[in-house]
Amino acid sequence: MSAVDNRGGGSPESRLLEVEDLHVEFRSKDGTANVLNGVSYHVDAGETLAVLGESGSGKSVTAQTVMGILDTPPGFVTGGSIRYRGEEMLTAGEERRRELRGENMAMIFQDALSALNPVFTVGFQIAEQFRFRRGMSRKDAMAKAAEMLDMVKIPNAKQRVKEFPHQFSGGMRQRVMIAMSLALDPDLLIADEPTTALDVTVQAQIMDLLDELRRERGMGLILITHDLGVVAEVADRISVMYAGRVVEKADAHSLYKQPGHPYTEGLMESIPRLDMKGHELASIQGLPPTLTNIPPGCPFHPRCHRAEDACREKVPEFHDLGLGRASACHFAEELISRD
Amino acid sequence: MTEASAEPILQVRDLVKHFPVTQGVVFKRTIGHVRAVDGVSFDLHKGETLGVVGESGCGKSTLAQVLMRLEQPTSGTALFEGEDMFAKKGADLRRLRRDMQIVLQDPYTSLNPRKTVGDIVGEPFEIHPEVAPKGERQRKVQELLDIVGLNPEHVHRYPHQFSGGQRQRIGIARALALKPKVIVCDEPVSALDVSIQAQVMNLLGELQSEFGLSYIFIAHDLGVVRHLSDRVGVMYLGKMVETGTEDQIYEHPQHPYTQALLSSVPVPDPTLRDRREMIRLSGDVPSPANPPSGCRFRTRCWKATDLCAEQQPALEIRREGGQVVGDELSTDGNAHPSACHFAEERPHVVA
Repeated sequence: MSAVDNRGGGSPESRLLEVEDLHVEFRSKDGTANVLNGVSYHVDAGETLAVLGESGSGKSVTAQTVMGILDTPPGFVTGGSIRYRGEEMLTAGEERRRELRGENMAMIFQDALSALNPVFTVGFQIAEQFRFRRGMSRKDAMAKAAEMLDMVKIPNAKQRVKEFPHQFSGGMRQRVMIAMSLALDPDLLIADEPTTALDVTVQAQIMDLLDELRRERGMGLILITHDLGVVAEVADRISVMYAGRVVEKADAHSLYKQPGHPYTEGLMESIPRLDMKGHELASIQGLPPTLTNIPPGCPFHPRCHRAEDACREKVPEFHDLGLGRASACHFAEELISRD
Repeated sequence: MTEASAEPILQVRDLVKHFPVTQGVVFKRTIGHVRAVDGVSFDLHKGETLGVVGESGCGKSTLAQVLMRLEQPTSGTALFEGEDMFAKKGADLRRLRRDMQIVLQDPYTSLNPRKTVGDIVGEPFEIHPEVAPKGERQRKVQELLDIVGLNPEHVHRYPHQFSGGQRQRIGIARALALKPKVIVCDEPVSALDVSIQAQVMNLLGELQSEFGLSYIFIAHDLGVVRHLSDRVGVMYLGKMVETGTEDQIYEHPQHPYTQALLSSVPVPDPTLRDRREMIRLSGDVPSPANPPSGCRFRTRCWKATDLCAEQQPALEIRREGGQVVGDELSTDGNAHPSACHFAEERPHVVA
């Protein structure tokens, strides 16, 4: 189900979420960190958008802002727009946001153990939503909770609803989280590093499950991850983030075939691949910038092997490259037209 | 990398480490054992990297700790340069510790936050003053920082002033201080971002060829292990299920677990989507306190039969179909030991 994005296209009904030029800063007594510096992306119903980036790139903060769960203070939204089915979220009241959370958009996190409450059974925690949002009785809500566990393929669901989070293994806990997030049937699911804490064999199970659920429900999925392998297996489109900006977007096939930003290229070359034995990995020099002190011009220029004077002075615009691709590099056209 | 020099630097045989599970507060009774490492054997040659892969709970970190003599083994032997490692005491043991060092996973907790980098990297010299006389220490520490790619001027800084990748470099400098022969790397890059991970892996590779180090490289990331290893051992619930050269394991895997593990790793190439052969294991790894009878992998294996429940398969060279052939077939380039009654090569699981 690959939806190639035609810039500005996509029928209005299928456009689920549109984030535009989002700015967020974190204020502390030591100064202001510019965590998001103009993030834009969108998700359509039924597709998987992967948001790729390393720690500190702002991928999780964007998701938290979309969900309306950004801690304020220290985080402040200083500009931009988030539209869910055309409705502006940043100006919507807390009441309205709460209505939408769970019902329309939901989120799962990396560490399922700390996201679940250790003193209540998993069934209770899932059933809560049915009781308070759907007005069901305890008994009916529990039965629904068992159904949800069954949906995420937890064996013996009727018994297991009565168990506590610590009685589940890592992979099973992540399944519980997925069941909980999908309880009210949202059409947008944000998965923030859902498999990072899991072993590979379990990771594969969870990714299969998420992909299957997305397909069945025609849900939009935002997959936040740093793993280029996972992205290659499930994403329709990819947005690559660096230092609080989206530096490149493209559909999965063209991105891996010919990256349009030196950072993306560097990432691809620095992964040790299973299917080849290389001698030296082409690593990216240096470190990502501290967000209190982002270098002028292109934020990637101190680490970039192509950097020229222009890069040190002028912030490259995030510009269209055709076929739904865009990149924030002065040399993007050159990069994607190489053989 | 040097091919199998005459005598392995480290020979490990039937290494076992069980942790007791106790019950009761005042009168502790042992009610069982966690069989973290349960009969592991391997050789490590000079200048070689042995990769150890496995999922969490397979015993790979316990193996590292036993080899570093941080844990006393339950049974088994290990010869370091022909001498029994576990019998060493006092001055002999200290001498051994100079030759074997460890790099730990978490660069945030493995460095003392109250000490400067100079103190951390120089601490081994306090314990082994014969390596560097007092007056020379500062210079030695700066040399080490330079070797691992850190600014030698930063000796007076504290760990929190460094990034994750830089801290891992500090850990590596500390491990190198006593000029060891073997370094055990326990998940040295798994806490790092990809771009930084590549830098540290390249550094480990350079150091190996420069100083002729032997590595035991423990990791759960199969790509990382392939990149650095000459030989690889795959662990499952305390046992090695398959060992061989990097090429034998990745291109000609024989054990179903190895095959499933390789097939689960996502490959960063969207054109392979839906074209790779998928092996999906169901369920989780059983508890090492109560491992399944016979073959430990049988509860998740699609080939399992009654035989697997009754008889434990030994780690031996096997013909297609799992028959043990002993040494006569070992001339075949791809023959390598695997512990499965039904071992069968399955090429192209990787891509």
